[in-house]
Amino acid sequence: MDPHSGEPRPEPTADSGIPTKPTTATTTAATTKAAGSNQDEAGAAAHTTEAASSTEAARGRIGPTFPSWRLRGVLALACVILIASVTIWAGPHVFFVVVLLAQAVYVVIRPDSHATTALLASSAAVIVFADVELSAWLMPAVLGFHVAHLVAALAAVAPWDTDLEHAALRPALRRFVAVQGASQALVLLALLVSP
Amino acid sequence: MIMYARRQSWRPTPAYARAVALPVVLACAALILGRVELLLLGTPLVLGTLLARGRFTALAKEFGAEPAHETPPSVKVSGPARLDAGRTAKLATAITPSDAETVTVLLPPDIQNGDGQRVVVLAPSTDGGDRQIVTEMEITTWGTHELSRPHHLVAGPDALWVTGPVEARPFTAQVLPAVSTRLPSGPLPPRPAGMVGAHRTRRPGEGTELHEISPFVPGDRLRRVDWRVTSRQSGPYEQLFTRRTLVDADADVVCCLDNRFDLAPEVATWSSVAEVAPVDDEDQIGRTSIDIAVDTVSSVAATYLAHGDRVGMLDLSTPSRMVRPASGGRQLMRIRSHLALHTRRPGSGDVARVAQRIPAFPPGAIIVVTSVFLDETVVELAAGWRRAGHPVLAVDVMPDPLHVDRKNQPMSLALRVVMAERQERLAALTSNGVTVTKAEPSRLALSLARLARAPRRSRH
Repeated sequence: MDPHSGEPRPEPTADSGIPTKPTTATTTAATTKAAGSNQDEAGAAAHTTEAASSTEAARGRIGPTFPSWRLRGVLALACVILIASVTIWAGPHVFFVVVLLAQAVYVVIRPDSHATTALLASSAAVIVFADVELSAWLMPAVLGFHVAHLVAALAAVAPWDTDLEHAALRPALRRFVAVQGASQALVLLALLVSP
Repeated sequence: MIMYARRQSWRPTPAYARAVALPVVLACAALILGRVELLLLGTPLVLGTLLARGRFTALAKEFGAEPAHETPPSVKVSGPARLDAGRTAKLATAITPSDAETVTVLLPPDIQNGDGQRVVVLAPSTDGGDRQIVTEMEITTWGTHELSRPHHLVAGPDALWVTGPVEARPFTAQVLPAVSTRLPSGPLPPRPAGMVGAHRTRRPGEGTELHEISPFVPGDRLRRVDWRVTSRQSGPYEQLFTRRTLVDADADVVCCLDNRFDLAPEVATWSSVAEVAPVDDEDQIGRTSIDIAVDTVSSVAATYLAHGDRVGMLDLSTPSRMVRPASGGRQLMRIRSHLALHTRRPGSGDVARVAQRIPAFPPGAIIVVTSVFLDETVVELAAGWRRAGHPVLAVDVMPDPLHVDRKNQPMSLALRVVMAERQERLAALTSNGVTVTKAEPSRLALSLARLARAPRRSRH
């Protein structure tokens, strides 16, 4: 008996010696998640997929995965979106564009370094020194800014030869959608109120 | 080179520094220069960090997790303490609940000594139980092995805090040698002992095999009276008939392991200074003579024990660790465990010798000796045992075929000389009445079957 939870401790099975997970705990967790899923449809879909992944976890398996290089591809795409939007919006000298691209390459290779900070700071500096007006290009720039920051952080804990479980990225994706919604709304508001 | 952490404690990542510092700098610049776009650029980083920390508002708690400041999860691999070589084993990688969000973990490989898969998985939350990832591993090599070491890196929400990489505790298991083949019943000693085995003898006595039905004589036990025969045969001459049976017998078998040499099929490795079978090159080297000998002893022991015989085991280099002859299923487990624990792989530089004093074996015990017969010592021992009246089965565990570079003329010549000397020794064994056989299962089975059916010298 587990003194903390009051549930039976996992006992080794006779044939394999592997401790089995208590079925009741799994069922309770799935039921709790299912009960919370009645709030709205989006939440329901998210909770359904979470329940599916928790079922996989209860079976002792890993859910669907994808290779780590795809995450690096998303990171590269985010960097391209950021640099392209900043370049089109601010129109910097080619030298600065090349510098930004070189930084982006290093970010993709070493996302665990401070190169991402340097790339984002350089992009902001290009906008500052360009002295441009507020434009709709700010929206993809904000998107690229956020995606590059987030994906670089995640890629830093996923080496090249790693497979990522879809469920592992789901909480970060939920937060990303909420933050991007709020940020883009603010950008839209700024565009509307600006002269 | 990966630097593994010894202490498990949370530390901020460059992403955390970026998420905190960059919005502050951008906000200051926006205020000084009057540029609202700089403020908007930093907005998602601030909001994302607030949600990731998840303790400020109900909204943040809904979208985020608790701040990662509690004890990081521990990751360990569990599984059976004893495994069988040649089979697959299920290993469970367990991750304890914590406030972490992802765990990058090195899972056990599909095959022993292989490379494991590295995955990023969702960490179990504190309101649930452990998360277990069950993988299957093909077990190939007997002995005591470190099967898996789940090095891991734990990350908090949005990978803003991490712990590790942590060098996890290894999972070590004892891999028992396989009972590779089912051999036929082997030869019986000249004077079988005991009355519990499955072997038939030609000695009348208590047993199950019918010998004859004869008239009752004083001294016969009443329970031996065959009433069916008596009722048919008796008439005017009333006479009792009794059933006489042959004794059921068992045998004492001692498997002697000569592991002074560990020879691989690749002849070039015989003279190398390093270990014959280093872990990295094991796949290329293949099964060595020690592997074949261990499998042979395991199979022979299983065969005789299945017939109710008593089987023991002796390492000729270290006779003090002899496994005394006994019968039953536990004895087989004892022998296999002894093989897995104490059988060492000598390097080419080792000069192990056969012990001077070999313990006395039970009278008439069958001796199965496995060796590569590269010197006279074992030949003299086996011939001596045969002269003492023991049936001796010599199993040649030299890998077959041997691989030698034909361009290397000196090595080819040396191999021919060594093999010629070996043939002389095997011929000497045969001339001394020792049965010599290859360790190949089919030939070993054939030799055992022939020995079992061969006429025995002594009458019993």
